[in-house]
This record gives sequence, structure tokens and C-alpha cells, in this order.
Amino acid sequence: MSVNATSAPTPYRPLMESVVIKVDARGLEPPQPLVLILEALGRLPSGGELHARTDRRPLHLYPLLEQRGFRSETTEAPDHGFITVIRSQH
Amino acid sequence: MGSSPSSAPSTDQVPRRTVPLASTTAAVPRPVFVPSTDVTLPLAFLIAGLASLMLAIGLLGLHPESLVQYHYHQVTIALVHLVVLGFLMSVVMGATYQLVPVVLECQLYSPRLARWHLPIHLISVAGMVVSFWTWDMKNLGHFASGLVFGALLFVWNLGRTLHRSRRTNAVSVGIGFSLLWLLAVLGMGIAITAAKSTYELVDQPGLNPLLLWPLARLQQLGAWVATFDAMAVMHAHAHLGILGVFVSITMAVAYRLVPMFLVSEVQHPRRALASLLCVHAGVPLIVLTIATKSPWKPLAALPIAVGFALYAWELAAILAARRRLVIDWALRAFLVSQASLAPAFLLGLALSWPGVQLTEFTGGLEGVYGTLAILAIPALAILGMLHKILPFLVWYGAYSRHLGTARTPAVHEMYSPFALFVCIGAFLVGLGLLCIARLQGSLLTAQFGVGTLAVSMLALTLNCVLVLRHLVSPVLRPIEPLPSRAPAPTPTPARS
Repeated sequence: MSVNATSAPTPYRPLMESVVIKVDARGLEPPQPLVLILEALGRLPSGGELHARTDRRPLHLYPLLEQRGFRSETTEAPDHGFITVIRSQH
Repeated sequence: MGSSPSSAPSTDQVPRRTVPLASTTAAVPRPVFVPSTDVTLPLAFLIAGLASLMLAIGLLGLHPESLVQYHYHQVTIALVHLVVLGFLMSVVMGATYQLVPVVLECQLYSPRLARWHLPIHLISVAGMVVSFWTWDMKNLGHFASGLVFGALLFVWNLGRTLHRSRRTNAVSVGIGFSLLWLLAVLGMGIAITAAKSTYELVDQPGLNPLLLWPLARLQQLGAWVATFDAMAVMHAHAHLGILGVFVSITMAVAYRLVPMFLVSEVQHPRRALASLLCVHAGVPLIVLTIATKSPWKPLAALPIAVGFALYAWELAAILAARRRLVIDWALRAFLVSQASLAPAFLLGLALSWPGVQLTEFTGGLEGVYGTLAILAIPALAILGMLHKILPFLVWYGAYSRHLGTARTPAVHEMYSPFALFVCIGAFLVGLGLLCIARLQGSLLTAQFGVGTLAVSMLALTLNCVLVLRHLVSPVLRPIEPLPSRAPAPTPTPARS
């Protein structure tokens, strides 16, 4: 199930299906991408994933994710920018 | 972050109905670099730098005559070093400790060395300024040695960080060269001091060889420097510092910061790199021709002219491609400072033309050139960027841990835009008045200029206090739960 960062996560989801929140933080001046991603992360249900698109590699995000028990993978997008997939370490 | 490097987004999860964000993604190793959330050290350098600038403006208020007399005067030289070493160098060093690891995506080689560097730098600069003021060359040499020791720690730390990152781009190349010129200009400063010092200890019988050897070498170095024209060597030293260190490092950093804040990209990386290489190729030529009073100075400036032209071209391209249309006053100040390179270069070229004699008028023009070279280019650039860097550092230190759990203020809400406008506007007006005062030799105009700069410093102080108070008393508000189905605020880039 895919939900936008701009709408509230649906409380019910079928068994064995993970929620994916997408955040498009491109075109924002630092540190707004950081704020947008971490605020969206606060709405991420357990077991869900957050896919964040940014113009640059979100270096300042990594220590904050680690502090909160999330792991992340950043890949370079073919068109422009980076995609960071964030999920809980638990 | 426990994921393994170089792995693409995992697909071993449960079934999903998500549309991939990108159809094909080139997997890149996840960076092992994690920037520190402790911003105390860069903040300390920045605050020390700002305090130096304010002290310098205050002392200028007490000695406005130093702005209208010929610049080879102990008070003028002391104030110049307070601005250059106390303000420019401190801010550049603090910002570099914070920025370089982020730009290179690599840990700083040794944060401990950086912490040792701070007190050594501050004590040395304070001692040097007092020594210049009292024209005590021997103590100047002692404190300058301390400054060199601190700079060696800085260069070693940054050099090892650059080596560790193994990234080659305009920013890393530019910073690498600037570090070399930093050592060169400090060495040159020591040599100039050595030429003005006396060495009564060398002739003392029974002197410890450990002390005798370096003193004798220093005496030889000083004797060699004394064979050059003293003013020419001083001018070469100033050009090496301003051009080789501050202008070039500002250019390198601009290729990172301007695209970041305007949401753009470097359009032609080779052009950016070429601009820096041209400037760095021109630095030794211009320094040598100035020191030897060579008539080839205008020709030696040619690579620098090409470098500046390429830099202007690339900056214009970055600006044209920006996705954020609005340029705030902080960035405007930075761009104006970079545009000032053109008149400063032309003035320098005119003054270096063969046959130009030192008269009252050309002496005034030299003063204007120096004012532009110190206050219009690096100082204004730093004042502009400080309004970006200082709030960000404080915001990151005070609020990053609260993100997602509480509503935090935006960076631009941490300071007064009106105070920023006054700071930049008054600084520019003050700068203009100082140039006029220098040309006319008018003490009254100089006093008005310093008064205007003081207004700028008051506005800067206000903004610094507004920003720094967030470290003491953070402003946190609870996050309102999103209403169901209601759209939340979405990022709205100015131009897609």
C-alpha cells in the first residue's frame, strides 16, 4: 500500500502488507528536506517504509535516523537526485 | 544505520503495491560518513570571528585616522590583521571544519586536533594584534609562530581528510590549493617579521644549540627577505593571503553553497574546476612579480582574469538554472561580494601597470583597492553566508533531535530579516563611504563610514543573539495531528 506523505496513514492494512510513505523533498532549501522527512517518519507505522527523494545525499539525516532506530539506504536516481529508503531496524 | 553498503533497496520484504520511485537506480555505496551533531567547535570559531570583526569596527571608531593615512602604519596593520586573522580566518576555519567533511562525505581526520587548534589560534591572533599595535616585532614573531603551529594542525587535519575522501572535484581541489597557500602566506609573514627583528641572543656565548640553530636560520631568512623592497614584500604577502587563501576558498565553497541554497547544480564541472586552477596558477606568478617589483605584473594577472571570468560564467549558469527564484539578502550579499572581484581586479591591474608612480591619488586608490580586497570581497561574502551557516548550525544543534516529535522553527524564522537587511545595507553604504574617505583623505567621511559599519554590526549582533538564544531556550511546539484526508503542507519549489 502506498500513501503519500501529504495524507494520513490508513489505520487498517491487510496482513503481510507494508505501508510505504513517499516524500518528495526536492526543490527545498536545507534543512527543509530534513524536517519534512523526519516529520513524515513520525507517521510511519511499524514495519513500514519511507521513500524520500532529495536533491542531494541527505548526510545530516543519517545520524538522526540512527538515533531513532531506523536504517537507511540511499541510491542515486537516474534522472536527478537521490532516493533514500528508510525502515525500522526492529 | 545497519544496512550494508552498496546494497540496493531491499526487496525481500512482504508484497507491496508500491510503484517504484525510480525505474532504475544506480546503486552507490551508502556513505560511511555520519556528520557530527555536535556543532560546538565550528560555532566557537564563528563567534570568535564575529567578536573580532566587532572589535575591529569599534577600534576603527577610536582611530578613524587609520583609514585615511597611508596603510603602512602600525595601527592600520594591527586592525587589518584583526579583521583578516581574527574575523576572516576564524570564520573560514570554523566553517571549513564543519563544511569539508560534509562536502567530501568523509569524517574529519581528527576532531581532537581541531579542538586544540581553537585556543592556539585565538591566543596567537590576540597576541599578534597587540604586537602589531605596539610594533613589538619580537613578540610578533613568537605569537606568529603559535599561529603557524595552529595552522599546521589545521592543514594536517584537513589534508588528511581530503586524502581520506579521495574525491576530486572543484571544491576539494580548491580547498587543497588554499591550504597550501595558507602555509605559504604564514611562512612569508614569519619571514617578513624575521627581517624586522633583532637577534642579540645569537651572539650570546653558551647558547643552547637547540635554540641557536633555529635562531641563526631565522636570522639568515630575515637577511634574505631584507634584500627585497619592504613594501613590495608586504604587498606580495597581502595578495598571497587574500587571493590565494580567502578568494580562492570562497570560490571553491561557492560551487557547493550557491547551488545548495538556490536549489541548482554546477552546470559545467570542468569549467568550475578550470576557474579554480587558473586562479591558483596565477597566485604564485602575481606574488613573485609583486615581490620583485617586476613590470610583468599585468601579464602575471592574466590567468587570474581568465579564472575570474570562468567563475562568473559558471555562477551565472548556476543562477540561471536555479529552481528557487527568490534570492534572499544573505545570498545577495554573497553575490555582490563576488561581483566586487571585477572592480577590485581592474583597480589592481591599473595600479600594477608599469610606470604608475605612488602619488597622493594613487595612494588613495591603493587604499580603495585594499578596502575592496578585504571588506568587499571576503568579509561581505562571509557576512552573507554567516546568515545561512550560523542559523543552520544552531538549528541543527538545538532542534535536530526533536524533529518529528515536536514542531521546530524554520531556520529563516530564527533571525530578523529586517536586521539582516540593515546589516548588509549598512555594510555596503559604510564600505562606499570608506572608499570615498580613502580617495579624498577625508576624516569626516571616514567617521561617517565607520559609524555606518557600526550600525551594520549592531544589526549583526541582534541577529546573532536571536539565533544563539535558541541554544539556550529552544522554541518547541507540539505537532498537531493531521486531519484525516486533509492535505498537509507540501513543499512548493518555486520553479520545477
